[in-house]
Amino acid sequence: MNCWAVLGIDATQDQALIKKAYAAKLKITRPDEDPFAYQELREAFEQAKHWHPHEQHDQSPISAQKMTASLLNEVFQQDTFSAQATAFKARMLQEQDIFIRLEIEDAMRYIGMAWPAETPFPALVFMAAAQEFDWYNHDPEKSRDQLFEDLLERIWIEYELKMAQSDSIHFRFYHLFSKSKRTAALMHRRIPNWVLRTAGFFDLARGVKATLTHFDTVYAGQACAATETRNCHWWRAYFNETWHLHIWHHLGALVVSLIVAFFSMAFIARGLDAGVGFGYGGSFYCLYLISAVVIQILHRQFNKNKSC
Amino acid sequence: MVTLAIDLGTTNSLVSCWKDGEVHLIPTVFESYLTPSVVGVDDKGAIITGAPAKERLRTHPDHTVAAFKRAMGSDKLFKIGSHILRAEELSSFVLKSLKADAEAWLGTTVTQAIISVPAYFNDLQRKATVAAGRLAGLQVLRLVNEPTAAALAHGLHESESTFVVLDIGGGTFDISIMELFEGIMQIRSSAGDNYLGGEDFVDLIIKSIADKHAIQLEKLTGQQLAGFREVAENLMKTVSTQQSASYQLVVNETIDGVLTRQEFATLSEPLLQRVRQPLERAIRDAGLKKQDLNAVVLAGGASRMPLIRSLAAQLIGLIPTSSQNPDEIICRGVAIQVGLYERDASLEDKVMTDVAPYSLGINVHNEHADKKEYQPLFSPIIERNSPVPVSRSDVYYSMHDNQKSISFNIYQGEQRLAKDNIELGTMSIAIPPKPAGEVKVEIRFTYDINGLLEVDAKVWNTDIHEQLIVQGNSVMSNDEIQARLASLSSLKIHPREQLENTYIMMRGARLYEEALGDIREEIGEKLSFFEAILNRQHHEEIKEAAAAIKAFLDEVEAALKV
Ligand SMILES: Nc1ncnc2c1ncn2[C@@H]1O[C@H](COP(=O)(O)OP(=O)(O)O)[C@@H](O)[C@H]1O
Repeated sequence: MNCWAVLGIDATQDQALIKKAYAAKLKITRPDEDPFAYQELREAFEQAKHWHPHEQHDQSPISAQKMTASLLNEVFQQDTFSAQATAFKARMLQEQDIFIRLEIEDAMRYIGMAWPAETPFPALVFMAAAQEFDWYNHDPEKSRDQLFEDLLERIWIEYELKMAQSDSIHFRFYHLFSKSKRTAALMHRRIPNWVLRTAGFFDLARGVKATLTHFDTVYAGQACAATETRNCHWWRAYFNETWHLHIWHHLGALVVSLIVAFFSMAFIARGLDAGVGFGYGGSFYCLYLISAVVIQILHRQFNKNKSC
Repeated sequence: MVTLAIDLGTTNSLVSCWKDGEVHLIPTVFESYLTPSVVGVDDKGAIITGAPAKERLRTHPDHTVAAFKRAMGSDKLFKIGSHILRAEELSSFVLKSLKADAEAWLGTTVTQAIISVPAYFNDLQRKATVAAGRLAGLQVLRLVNEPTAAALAHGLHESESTFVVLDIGGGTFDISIMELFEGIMQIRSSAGDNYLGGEDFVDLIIKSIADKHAIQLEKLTGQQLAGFREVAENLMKTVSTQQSASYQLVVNETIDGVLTRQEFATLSEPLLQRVRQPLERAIRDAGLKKQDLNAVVLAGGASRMPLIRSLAAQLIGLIPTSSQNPDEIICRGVAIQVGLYERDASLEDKVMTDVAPYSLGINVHNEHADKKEYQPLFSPIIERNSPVPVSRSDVYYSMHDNQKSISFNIYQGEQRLAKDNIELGTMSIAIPPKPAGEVKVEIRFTYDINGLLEVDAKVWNTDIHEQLIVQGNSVMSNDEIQARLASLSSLKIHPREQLENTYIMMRGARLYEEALGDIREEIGEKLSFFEAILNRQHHEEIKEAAAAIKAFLDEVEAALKV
């Protein structure tokens, strides 16, 4: 039965009329007498109240909309994600009026859900929003909304990746895959145990490579667009750089060392100790390696600052 | 047959009834409407309740308890004198005393009542309240949510409007949003915090004074602590009306100090923060826009604090209306609920509908869950702020091949992980062996107007069917209530006829303790004199002397306050 038949009126948007019809029916369908009829009546009433023959109009007052727009401008014009988050938190501290806060919450939800996958996701800002509006304990009604779940997931994976970045390389992956139960649950479905173990403890390079491959092919496509963000690019880049260091830079160093060793031979020809020459060669090689590593680290540090 | 309307508060309780189309508050023997929710034993081992017990809170802290409503629904035990009692039992003494007052006022016996509870009381706490009623010889016809009652009292004579009720009493904070139209009083949503009230503000003041003067609270005696509490509560009330208040405290040495309103505001900041979240939730659940809201109504004793008023104004953008006496508004509303329940002719065209403030559901396993690491999740079936009565169902699937049965727990709450919610019961249903995911079970929750939950589980395409009426876990069972009824009836209760004079003696004893010097001696003399008159048992003489000493004690009290 449709709601209008239950209420006994024709379809209308006239709230006063709907309320009148409901009130008249309620007085003969009391909640304590006939619970089932009451539930049906009440559901019809709620449905009728929200019925719109055409598209829905936004009813929120202009002032609240303006406040929200100004806040969002202020937040998203900041250059870095952390500055955005700080600006957001600072603004929310001042915002006491509950109606404006609810407006902002809606706006943040919407923006978060609609964030394009190609652009880096400003996780820090949304983490702050999740905290501010208690999204992790969000209301059950909304948990059925798949989009919102996705948003939470996304914020959440970002958070894990952030944690991963801040630790030493060895633990990064360990962290990434087992720190949180939720990622663990996601990961266990897709990545074989041996990969995790390898990544965690033994052959780091191979493990990283294998994990990244999985990450790219399986996880990224499935879970959400979070893997497409700078964090994963960064991991991939770092891995490639290490690789370069190992092949070309080693080769370069080897050539230089050979030249040094050649000069050392000249020293030997002059009657000096051969060991000293090889010693010089070896030291040069080590020096080269160390400076290459330092350059790499500086380079990485620089990149990180740029991207966060 | 009269049905009593009872507001069983953390600090004060009231009783009223619905008669001749209006609310009648019923006075106590002490000619006040408030009965302090305090229970103690007197020197002869008899149970004593209300105003005299409150006087003894200061002089006999080991023999008196207050604020036990906060322990309703838990297994906490209180020791007063030689008795060890549960919160339900202590509440039953308060109910008994209200019942006695009502019976004296009405001139008939009473066996039925409607009692108010904080909207955010969970199922266990509600069942404990019903048990307390039974222990007091009252059949509880219905429980009504406190802010709903306040809304009824405010809304009865209003026409179309939508308003928020903020009810902040001694121990609990509650919110209801009510919409009035065409004689319908519709609660749109409720939310709250079961552990936020005036007592928490008093605790803050105590802590801050103790820090300021390096007083170690653990080292104080029960009496000193009770005295301290009284001073702190008076300070809180004074800064509600004045910019600052001075205090004098005798703890080993005499301590003087001043508390300003500004200082109190800074202290209260963390507590005030806790007002916002439930309010935000109630407004969101009601789907309310600013322009729909017409008024903010404050109820409960602690709402007299200007801090609460200004916070409400700040959060909602409306100046709160101060309606009737905030202590009485809930009890008045309960009486209206009695009238509605009885279908009184004067309320014929009024209907009130309420909501369930908590979500109800079961625990589920996510299909991808790794057994060791994954926690069962909460899957709500009836969502919070659904209009009651309500019946809803959801379908769930088996998880393993050839699974033999499905068992689940029933929860109340809003948390994502099942274990963080309140468990109300468990249920299990046998299912036919089939591959995983092929057995469908429909679980139906039916929540009636009295808050009783019935759970039905049905296996699809079979006639397997199970039903459970949720009784709750840690509340007292029927047998326990019967057993306790027997043992409670053997307890001596202080006779009601003598209460008035007992109160004078106890109040005198407290003032004797508080006062110093000449006044103190005078109090002592007057009390001895009064005691002698009491022993002569001459009715007229006692009445006269009681009036005289009462006037004297009032004077002393006024002098001490300054
Ligand atoms: N003038 C006042 N200023 C501040 N707090 C007050 C004032 N009067 C009463 N209170 C506080 O109100 C609380 C009691 O409110 P009440 O509504 O009676 O609570 P309940 O219904 O829980 O018993 C106490 O904590 C008391 O300290």
